[in-house]
Amino acid sequence: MPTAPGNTYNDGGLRFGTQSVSIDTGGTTTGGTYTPEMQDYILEAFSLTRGTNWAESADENGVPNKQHGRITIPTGDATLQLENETTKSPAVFAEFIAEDISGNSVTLIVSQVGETTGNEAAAKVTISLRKKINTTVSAKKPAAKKEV
Amino acid sequence: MELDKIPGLKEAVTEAEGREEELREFAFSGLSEIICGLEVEQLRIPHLRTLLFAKSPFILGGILTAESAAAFLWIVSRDYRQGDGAARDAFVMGIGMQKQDWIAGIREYLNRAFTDAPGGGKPDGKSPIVCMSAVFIHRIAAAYGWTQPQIDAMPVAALYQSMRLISLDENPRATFINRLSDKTRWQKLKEWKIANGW
Repeated sequence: MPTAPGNTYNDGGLRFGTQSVSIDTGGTTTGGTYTPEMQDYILEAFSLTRGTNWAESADENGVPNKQHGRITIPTGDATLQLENETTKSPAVFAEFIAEDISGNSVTLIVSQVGETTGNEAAAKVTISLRKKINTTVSAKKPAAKKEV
Repeated sequence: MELDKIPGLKEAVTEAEGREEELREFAFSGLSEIICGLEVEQLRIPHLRTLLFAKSPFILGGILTAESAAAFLWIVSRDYRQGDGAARDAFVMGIGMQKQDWIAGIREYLNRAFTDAPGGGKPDGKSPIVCMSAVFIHRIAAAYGWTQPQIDAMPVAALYQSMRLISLDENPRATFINRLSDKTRWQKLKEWKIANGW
């Protein structure tokens, strides 16, 4: 995937391979300090797609004469594999870091969480994701985990 | 981290996927199943109906006995004839296995038949409004135009695969459990984490 200086992407989408991720399931706030409750998941391969929004204007005859397009934030759906049926699903608005197929770290926001389905072998939940914009190095990552 | 980077995980998952593929193709093969060396039919809806009427603990849950195992094997056997007590007695006399072998064999047979059965969600407290046969017939007849006899003739392992595709047509975001490969993926990840002090 081609990248422009500053690690911004200039093509239509982002592809991710199946990977292990850790996401906050909704922690607790004590004395004004938020402590996340992290949970490990397997994030199945998925893609984020980037579209465009267009504004149009027309002349007095209703014929379009101007248009202006803006790139939208990359979004997509993904499936998380849970350890078992009792494993908590991630919290909406939780942020986590995933690695795209080029090896770049991308901060994602959980925007929707579906219902968990499972059996004695495994459990899964479908989530919707948005790429976080204006990221510095602020994504939450469990401090106890070591990088591999 | 990318799971493919975990040593041995990709190979183990590929092997499990191969086994799933075999099971899925077998469902459409028309071949007989084997339970502890005994040739039986692949599980179909009429078998499930009969097992339900016979209150089989293998279907309804409960204590598994030698008698319930023998009844199960008789119902799925190629010799089964409804109401033929003499044939049933001859069949039971003829199968010379130990109870534990029967039970383990039947469990494996059922696991194979239900490989692609849908996963359950959280119990919603509502009672079922129709039986399982009605669900199969409604969904598959609507999608493929099959009749009840045609649906009854198909192994449930094949019907569950069709149901998956129908669900996917209805909802491209539908989620499915692959009992062998999904389980293997978690197991290998856990083993690796333990071995590496995560």
